[in-house]
Amino acid sequence: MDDAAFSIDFTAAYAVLAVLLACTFFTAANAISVRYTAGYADELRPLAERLGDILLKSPGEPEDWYMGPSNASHASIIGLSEGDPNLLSSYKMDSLYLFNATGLKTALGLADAGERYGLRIEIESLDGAVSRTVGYPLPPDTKDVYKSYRMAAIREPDGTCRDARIMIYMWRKDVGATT
Amino acid sequence: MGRPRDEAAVHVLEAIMASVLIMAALAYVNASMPVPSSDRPDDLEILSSDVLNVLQYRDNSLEHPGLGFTLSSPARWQDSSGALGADIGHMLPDGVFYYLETPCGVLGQKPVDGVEVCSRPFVACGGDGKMLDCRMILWRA
Repeated sequence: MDDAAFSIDFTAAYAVLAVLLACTFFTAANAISVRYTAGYADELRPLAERLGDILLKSPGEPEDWYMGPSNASHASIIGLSEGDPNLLSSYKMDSLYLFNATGLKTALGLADAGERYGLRIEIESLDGAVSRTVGYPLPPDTKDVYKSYRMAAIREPDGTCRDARIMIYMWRKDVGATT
Repeated sequence: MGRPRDEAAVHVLEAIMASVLIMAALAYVNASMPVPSSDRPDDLEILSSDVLNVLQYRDNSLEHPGLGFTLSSPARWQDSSGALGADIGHMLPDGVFYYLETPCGVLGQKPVDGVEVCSRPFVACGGDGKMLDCRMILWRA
């Protein structure tokens, strides 16, 4: 009788332990995965910042790269600046559409043979009048995305300036937590 | 008679202690993981550079005055500093605040203790060609 009671208590105690262990394991595994993933994304920070500097502060090389598909395909640097840093040309912004997602990456010096990196650039004026998005769609199933928040002003063809925010998203395609 | 019962209680205690130890070990491992640094002050450094460039190089208008225009005289500071401050506040992402110190006056909220701060001194040109020592502080709540 006592042995049976002991056996039930013993089983109950270790059942509690097993449940706690399982909960702890899954919680910790998820937390660790998310933290490592954020760490992976953070490794892309220097690259994203360099890209942001090129886009916002350089007029491009040659400066007339935006004049047509032929010029764009031969550009060595894609820059959106009108001349002064952080002052963007609306013509150059429109010409970003000359590139598809892979072409944009190549033009920005990010050609990777294995297609391991993703890039997306969103430009939106603060008044909502101007909005441009180029690059790949954001991956829905990973947190391995580094977001670089930049500020600039867009000079419209009529000479008016609009303050704008530029979001540069970078990620590695085969890395990251999916929860 | 009561010995197996005592042993069962000991098993329960052992199970609880083992759970606590395992959770402590996992918490330690979790805490030692690389910490994402998206909130590091160098973000604020880049942001402050961007904001100052925009204020420096964009065109002037009454609604959106430039930095040089606003600092060109105390009277213009009085008229335009409010719009300038509103623009800076609008540019910054949520949770980031600014404090601008100029010889004409200050704008924004002073950083509180214990927050991440980026302080960027800069020189602006006043109306009479005089160079003005200014400072922009960005901080994250």
